[in-house]
Amino acid sequence: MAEDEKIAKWESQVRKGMLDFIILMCLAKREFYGYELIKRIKDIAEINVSEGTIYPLLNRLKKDGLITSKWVEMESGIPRKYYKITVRGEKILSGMKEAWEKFSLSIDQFMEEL
Amino acid sequence: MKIKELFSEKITVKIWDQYFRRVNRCSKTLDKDQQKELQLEIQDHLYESFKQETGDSEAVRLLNAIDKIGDPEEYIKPMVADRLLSSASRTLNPKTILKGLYYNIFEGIKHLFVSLFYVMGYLTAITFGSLAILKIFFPKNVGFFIYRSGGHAFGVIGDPINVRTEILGYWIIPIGIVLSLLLYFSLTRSLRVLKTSKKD
Repeated sequence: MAEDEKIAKWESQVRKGMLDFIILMCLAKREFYGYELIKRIKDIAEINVSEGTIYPLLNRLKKDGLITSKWVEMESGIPRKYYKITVRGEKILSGMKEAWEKFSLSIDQFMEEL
Repeated sequence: MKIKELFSEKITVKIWDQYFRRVNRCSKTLDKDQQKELQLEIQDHLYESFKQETGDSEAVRLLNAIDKIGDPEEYIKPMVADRLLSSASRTLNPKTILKGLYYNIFEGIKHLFVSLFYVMGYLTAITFGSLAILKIFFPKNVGFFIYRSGGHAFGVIGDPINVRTEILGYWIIPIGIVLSLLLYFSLTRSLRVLKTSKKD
């Protein structure tokens, strides 16, 4: 049981560390609003985090110029903020993908050696 | 449409308002535009999440949605610090820089104090347990002592020559063990609750 807990904790940390990468990959496909994005991330990455934790991340990515946002009026009266990836974000994402492929390949090779 | 018109039950409006009072309190150091933007984004999230909830009463569905988005105290503070430092670097306003630094440092200090509290707590638990064991080997040097001068000491003393009386006797063994176990289990339990609430 303790081993299972340890593995689950490690897996959760790995997934959380990938959040920036996953957000950029989602936004590279289309525009998303906050709630929709966290739902998508939870489905893809099976990350168990408070939904609110996505906002500091989006805020940081926006500050770094990797994503941008726009407000859209909604019928409910509460406007909705949509996020989309920028050209800079696409470049960074492309670099991240390459780094990820290299990293996963080297881990695969290392595991085969064991 | 006003927020109050989105819900049919008064209690739901009350829960909504209470949550956004917390959001406002956490984000009050931001400038008004930033605060409004953040509030609107969280309102949209919470309302959307509430709509996706099924079954139960309206109030329970909102509470479930609140549970999923989490405590504003947890997720807004790093964002506030980040935004303050970001606007500080843009405007070079020393007041904003200080506010941002305060938030970052405050979070660090809070963490330090919590850690210190637990370190001290566990050390005290170990001390109580050790007193119980030491009493067996050094019965004259361990206990609750009253000195001839009127002063008193609890724990281990070097030379008991000036001691008028020792109050606890061998009772210090069960008392030490019970206090040690009580402290250990309550600290561990509270630490587990703290960790779980942070993880969620």
